[in-house]
Amino acid sequence: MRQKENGMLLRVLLLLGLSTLAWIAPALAEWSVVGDGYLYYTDEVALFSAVRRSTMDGDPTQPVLDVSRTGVGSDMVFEPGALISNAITTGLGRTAFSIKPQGFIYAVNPAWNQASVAAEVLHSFTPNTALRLRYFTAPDQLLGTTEKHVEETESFVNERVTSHIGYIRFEQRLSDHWEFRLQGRIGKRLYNDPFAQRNTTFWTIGPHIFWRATDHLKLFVGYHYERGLAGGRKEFEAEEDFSYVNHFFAVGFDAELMPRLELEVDFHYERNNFTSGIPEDERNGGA
Amino acid sequence: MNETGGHENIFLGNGRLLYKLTNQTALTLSFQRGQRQQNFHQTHDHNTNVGVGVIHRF
Repeated sequence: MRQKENGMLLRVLLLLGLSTLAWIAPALAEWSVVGDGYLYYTDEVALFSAVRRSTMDGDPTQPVLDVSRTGVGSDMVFEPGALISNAITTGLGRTAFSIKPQGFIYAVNPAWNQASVAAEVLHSFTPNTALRLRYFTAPDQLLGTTEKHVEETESFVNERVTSHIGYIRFEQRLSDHWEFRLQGRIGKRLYNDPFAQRNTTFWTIGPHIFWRATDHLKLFVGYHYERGLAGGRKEFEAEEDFSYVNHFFAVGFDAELMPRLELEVDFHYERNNFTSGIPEDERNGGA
Repeated sequence: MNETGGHENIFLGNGRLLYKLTNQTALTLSFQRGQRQQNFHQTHDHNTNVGVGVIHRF
């Protein structure tokens, strides 16, 4: 109940914050405020947020409910967001601070509403070399309803997760055309009590390469290696282990088709290899 | 890669058109298509998202 109340409070705070952005913008004259709003049709509510966040710069390993139990159906989703930023210049370089709230508001399935926020510091030592630090959190996110076996009875329980992730990224411009980035992440996924054995600690590392082929075309490629370790894997009589090794590949381009029209395209492939050693775990070939 | 244990393959494609209406405002049209499959379940799960949006610098 407390988690539900906290989730509702966060959603109300997000909506209040976004709706007052325009009003407070003049008072933030020295700050940069960019607001955005999207309206999506999705044919699968249970996978929408994971797909939206599956970007090289986002959270591509956000958990989803066991995919065999999706099928919540379609919905319209409003996605408000903002980027509030400021920068200072000192003898050590230029430092930009930003905060980025984001929400997913479902028209027909409000139980899936959720909010997230990212706070970031980008320090440029020189125009060619920068270090980016980011904290991202998505609290009390509903993944879906799944079966839970308790004392030989089956019941359906809401599965929820809270993500806390720290990012660090080194960015080096090699020439007018090439840029190299090395990104690392460390994070925790904390599930609600009935699924606490799935609590996961993970770390990620991977390079990103950008190539400005022409003034109107930029291509990129990236790879992440991620290791996730579920807290319950060492429990006595553990029945499941969600630990994994994840390989993430991304490739794409940004093209300026006309002076006012841009096209962004990217493709991702992810491979999760589950590392459970529990004989009866379906992730280890068990029934 | 581990072929005998449990694993999951995820494919995802994104496309977005962005039209700069003014120096402060842009309109977007987005399309996403994802597919997930776990080797220990028989189902393929698909997700398609289509959206329109606006971005404004205050």
